[in-house]
Amino acid sequence: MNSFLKPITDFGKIDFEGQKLAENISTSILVVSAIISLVAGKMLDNMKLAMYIYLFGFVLTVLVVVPPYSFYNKNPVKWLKKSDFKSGNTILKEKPQ
Amino acid sequence: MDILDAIKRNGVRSILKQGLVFLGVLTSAFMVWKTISVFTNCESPAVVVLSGSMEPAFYRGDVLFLNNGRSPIQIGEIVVYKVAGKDIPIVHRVMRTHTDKETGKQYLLTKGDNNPVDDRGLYTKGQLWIEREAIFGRVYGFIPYVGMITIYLSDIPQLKYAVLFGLCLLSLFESE
Amino acid sequence: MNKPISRISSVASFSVTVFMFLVLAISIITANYQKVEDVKVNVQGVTVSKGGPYDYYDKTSSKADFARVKFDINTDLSKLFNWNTKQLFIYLMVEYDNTKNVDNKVIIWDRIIKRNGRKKFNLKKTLNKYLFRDFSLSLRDVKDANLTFVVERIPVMGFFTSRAEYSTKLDFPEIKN
Repeated sequence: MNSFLKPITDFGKIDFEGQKLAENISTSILVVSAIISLVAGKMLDNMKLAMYIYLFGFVLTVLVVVPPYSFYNKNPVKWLKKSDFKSGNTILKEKPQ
Repeated sequence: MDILDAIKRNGVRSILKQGLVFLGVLTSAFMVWKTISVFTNCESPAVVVLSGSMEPAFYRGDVLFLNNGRSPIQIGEIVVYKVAGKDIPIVHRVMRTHTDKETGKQYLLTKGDNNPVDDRGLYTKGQLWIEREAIFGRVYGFIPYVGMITIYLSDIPQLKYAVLFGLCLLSLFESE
Repeated sequence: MNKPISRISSVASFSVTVFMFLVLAISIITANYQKVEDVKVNVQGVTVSKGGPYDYYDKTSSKADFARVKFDINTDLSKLFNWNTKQLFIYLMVEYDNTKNVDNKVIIWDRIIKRNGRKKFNLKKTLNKYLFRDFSLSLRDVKDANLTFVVERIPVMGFFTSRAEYSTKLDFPEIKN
């Protein structure tokens, strides 16, 4: 069943550097939109505007971080090939999982 | 399936360990809730508004934050109380207070902002006042709309099952 | 974080946490408000009479003393509405002691001022909205009565604040029996 579901379970995978980038982007956009929301609401005296600014920040974060864009996959993981183990060039000393 | 593979690989012990972690999260959330209860001296430091008798101040689905200090109730405060024998908590404003200066005993009359008459119709038969002891929370702050989720979940039981089912489906597809 | 579903759930939970902090920050920043400058409450008179209207719940109302307070209110509350004010609940209360050493506070008139409603008004010769009687049967032992105008601010989100804006002495007539 694992291989049958592979197209679904592998959809949207991004590499580790991409994950770090995604996490940083999402944190910064959300915090910045919260700050802008607070300042804009206080300056312009408008609660609706403040709420919409934060909502906009949330939607923006989802759009930027969730779909698997190509810039998240710039550093793909280098998996070792089977041949590395046979000829003794292996880096690992233990049995591979 | 992934779950059977995971069990074969890691043994029953790791599943139990995962369960323990999950229980740990649940119990620490419970501990935080109970600690807040101790600080605010109030059994439920947050409640969701269920009726519309305090409109236009509160609508159904607003979350109210309560505390319950020992000081006498001030007039004009919005309080949450239960009538003896009935289980429903009522959130209304205190319209009259009569406080004995020596003993601190108080007799209070409440009324919802949106009601034309006071709450004597809600008290037990023959009861004209409520006492400080019947009040288990005073409102000091609130957030609008956030409680709508609990109202939807309790009004539409299918929604509860749909959410649980969705969570189960998601966990099946996780391979970690 | 390698799957979209875990990214969505992580973004969702973090955004909720940030929103909690935003709500807290808004509540703290908007917690105080200015004093209302010009509140004029003018008491025209207090009358006390024995026996009140039939009350289904209060069987003693035919024997109790009821007071009627006639007053004017002139005020402008528009400066109290900032971005976090949903509405104001204003009321007039009478606080008095009586000789049984009981402190009494009674709201005799109230009004809800909504954000898009009239904030400036000038009421003349208004009577109390709610029946005003003592806990006991008589209002004879009333001492040191004050009429106070209080404004309570109901925010869009956050903490409630209430402030007494104006207070004046209320003279109760001598009750001879």
